[in-house]
Amino acid sequence: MSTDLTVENITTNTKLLNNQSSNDRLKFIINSLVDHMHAFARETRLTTEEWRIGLEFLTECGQMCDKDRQELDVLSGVLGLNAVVDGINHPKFENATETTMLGPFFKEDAPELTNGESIVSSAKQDVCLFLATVKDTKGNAIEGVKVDVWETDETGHYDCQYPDRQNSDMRGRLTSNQNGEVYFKCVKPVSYPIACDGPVGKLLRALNRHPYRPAHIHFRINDPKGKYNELITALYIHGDPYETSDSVLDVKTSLIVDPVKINDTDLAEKYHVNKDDWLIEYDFVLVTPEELQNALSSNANVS
Amino acid sequence: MEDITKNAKLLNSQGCDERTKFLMEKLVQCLHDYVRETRLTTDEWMSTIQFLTQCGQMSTNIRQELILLSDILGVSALVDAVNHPKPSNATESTVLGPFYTDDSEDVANGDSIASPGKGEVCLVLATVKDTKGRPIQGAKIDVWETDGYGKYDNEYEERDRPDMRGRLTTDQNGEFNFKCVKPVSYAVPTDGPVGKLLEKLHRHAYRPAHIHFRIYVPESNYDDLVTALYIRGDPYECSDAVFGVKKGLIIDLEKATDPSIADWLIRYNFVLTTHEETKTLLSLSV
Repeated sequence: MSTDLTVENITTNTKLLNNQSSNDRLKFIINSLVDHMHAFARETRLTTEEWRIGLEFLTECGQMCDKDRQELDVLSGVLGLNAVVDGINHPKFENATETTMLGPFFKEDAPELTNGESIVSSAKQDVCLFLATVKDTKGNAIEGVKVDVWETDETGHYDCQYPDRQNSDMRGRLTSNQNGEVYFKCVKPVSYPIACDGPVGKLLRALNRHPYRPAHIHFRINDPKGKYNELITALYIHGDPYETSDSVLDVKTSLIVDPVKINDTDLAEKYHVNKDDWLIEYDFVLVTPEELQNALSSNANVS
Repeated sequence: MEDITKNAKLLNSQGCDERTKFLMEKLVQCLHDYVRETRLTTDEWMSTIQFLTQCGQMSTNIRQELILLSDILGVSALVDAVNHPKPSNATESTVLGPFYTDDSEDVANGDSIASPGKGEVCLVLATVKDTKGRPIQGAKIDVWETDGYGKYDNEYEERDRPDMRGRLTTDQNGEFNFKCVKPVSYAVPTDGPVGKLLEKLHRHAYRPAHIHFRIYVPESNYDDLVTALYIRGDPYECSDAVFGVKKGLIIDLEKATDPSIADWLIRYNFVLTTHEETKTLLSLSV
């Protein structure tokens, strides 16, 4: 290491020490982090007090975490970092459905449902019929894929946020039929705030930012045969007041859907819903591992 | 995807104060650039979040793992340097570190800051002057260091009173002198996530032998100086785990001529800046 220990070369010296690692990837990501953090401190002329507040903030976030609460993940969400990481790892490929984050409310215990059933336990207001198809990028229907669906109730709470959760609710696992179709009943999604009783909530208030996520319904689509990549995504309701200001920056234009009133007696009868219930339709398109690999390497070439 | 950075900045600029807005804008840009540049994988990002969580959970009022992380990434030393620019003839600053306490007892010139038997005895002969070379009388100097085993007094479970630390005052010639333990190198705590990171990076955890100083002149316009002196020839002189060493702070340890007084001798002349001198430098460096 250099013996010229001065302020000017502290970044170089830090990287020199890190270069002793035999793990090239670790070396690369840690030294890139050093470059960016040092540039941030220099460019902002970060004061000792601001630096101290920042580290104390991260410490508080860490201390708030337990098995049900990941405050640093929430922080990563509101800074848009989760969305960027997701975007890099799931580049948009032709007509394939765009991805979003899994989020903290996915649970493995969703009940297996058959097409047409409701994912919601009791009769709620704003029943919504969801008609979907799952296809490949060439438009061929995919049979037998597992579709996990989860959403909040009409008050904006997931079942796992209930103090006395016994069974899963507002979630289900469906299977696509030979036409690639998946359909079920759910409650029309509503917007809700992310957890804001911790340090990240304080940060949002200091920034004059609201904590809301626009109304959405989550999907995880899985091909048990492994021919297609898993798709994790969500659909957002058009016209939501938070449509363009999602607190975790995860809305994509292609994932915005427009619920309409069914208004069609035949359709209502066919799916055992009422004429004035809501209808959402969406066609999911899955990619194969080869297609994703091509997209990733062509992106790497560009950047 | 390209819009996320722009949108994040927009959300963060809805009416907080200008400084916060500026810091958030730069922070978002810096972190997003980092993720894009490294094409960070989802697994790597999740490991990072887990790592920071463990750092937070390890922290207590006497152990601050995130400060340690900032230290070993050179960020603490950089922030210190950005906040304490010095003219070339003034003594450079270093970070305060986690072992400073404010309960040091007064020590008269010539006395020892360490109780007997803590290590080899070292005599420090020092002066405090201004940048024009004029001695400063009445400067207070907090000194702290480890014992001969590389442990500070507050790292021991039993601590009745401060040891290996003391508060001195300069005389009319700006001089102060005291006896202490010959400094030794020691490792930063390695039993947490940061220790694991150092190991993965094949980095050692050692700080080269040093003595800490905090010098301040009550009711004056001199800047406080937080610094440390490092012993030349230490095996970790050029690879301090927390990047505190600066060339101008490396000193030679001399053999003392009279072993009845001390085994070793250190001489150093500290030079303080005034508020005006620093203000001039800060406005120049903007």
